Amino acid sequence: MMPAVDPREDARKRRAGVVAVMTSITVVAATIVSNSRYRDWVWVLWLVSFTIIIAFTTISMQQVGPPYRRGRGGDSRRRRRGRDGEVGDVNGHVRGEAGPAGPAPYQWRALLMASRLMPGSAGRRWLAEAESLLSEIAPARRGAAARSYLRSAPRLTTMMWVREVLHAVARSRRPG
Amino acid sequence: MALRLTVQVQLVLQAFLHDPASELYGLELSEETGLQPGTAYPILLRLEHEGWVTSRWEDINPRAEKRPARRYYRLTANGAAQASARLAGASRPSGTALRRLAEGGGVA
Repeated sequence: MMPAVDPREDARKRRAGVVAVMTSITVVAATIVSNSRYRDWVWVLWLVSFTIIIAFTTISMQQVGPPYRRGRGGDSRRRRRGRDGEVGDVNGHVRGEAGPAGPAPYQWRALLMASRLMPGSAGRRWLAEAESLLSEIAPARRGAAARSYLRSAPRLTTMMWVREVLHAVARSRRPG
Repeated sequence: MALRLTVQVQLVLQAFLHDPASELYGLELSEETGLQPGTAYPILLRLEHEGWVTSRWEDINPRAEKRPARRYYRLTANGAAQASARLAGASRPSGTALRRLAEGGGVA
């Protein structure tokens, strides 16, 4: 039987390859510049190169997609706050596991951002329910369903924050 | 504040009242009512805050089932009584209203 290919390992290797190539180009370019009349400016080359390398590494490590489709390096905030203290996200998914198809990555990113604008637990619940529904809905209807979640998000966010503030006010007025 | 019985709210309540003892999850409800999930969710939240429905997470192992857990909603006894009373007093959504809802993207 063929061993299963770990997509995280594959992504890590590709990332390491790109970083190695970028570093090599920087070293070669720095050597050339050091031996030219622009040698006083070689620090600019190092600075720009390292900024690009760090930016590339950071961005490529932020994989986007629902947790059941995401490899390692995903959203650590959601993982830490998983329900029932399980290791995984709010639905108990374990990182890197295969699962049903969910929303498109850009829609997932938008849902994630919208959920973070909502009060903590309410946002996590909204996102978990959206994730659950979008993983089961027929692919032809998935895009429309994701858009409907996103369309309702601003109103829902306002409603949730108003409720949160009212609860806080009621708590503060309670004697004792 | 009393719950406003919009056409969408009426559709959700009618879906629950088909079998008041049964539990429905988001997708089921969306298919039964024809409402988009993004429209049904705020209604469910409002009904829950009013104490008309309760909800719970499905107790499954998502890895074994290869899907996330569902959130199930069920009418409370009070909710069923209130919903029946309010729906009896409310005018039924007309065909035109439902068509408008469908054209406006409220219906899947």
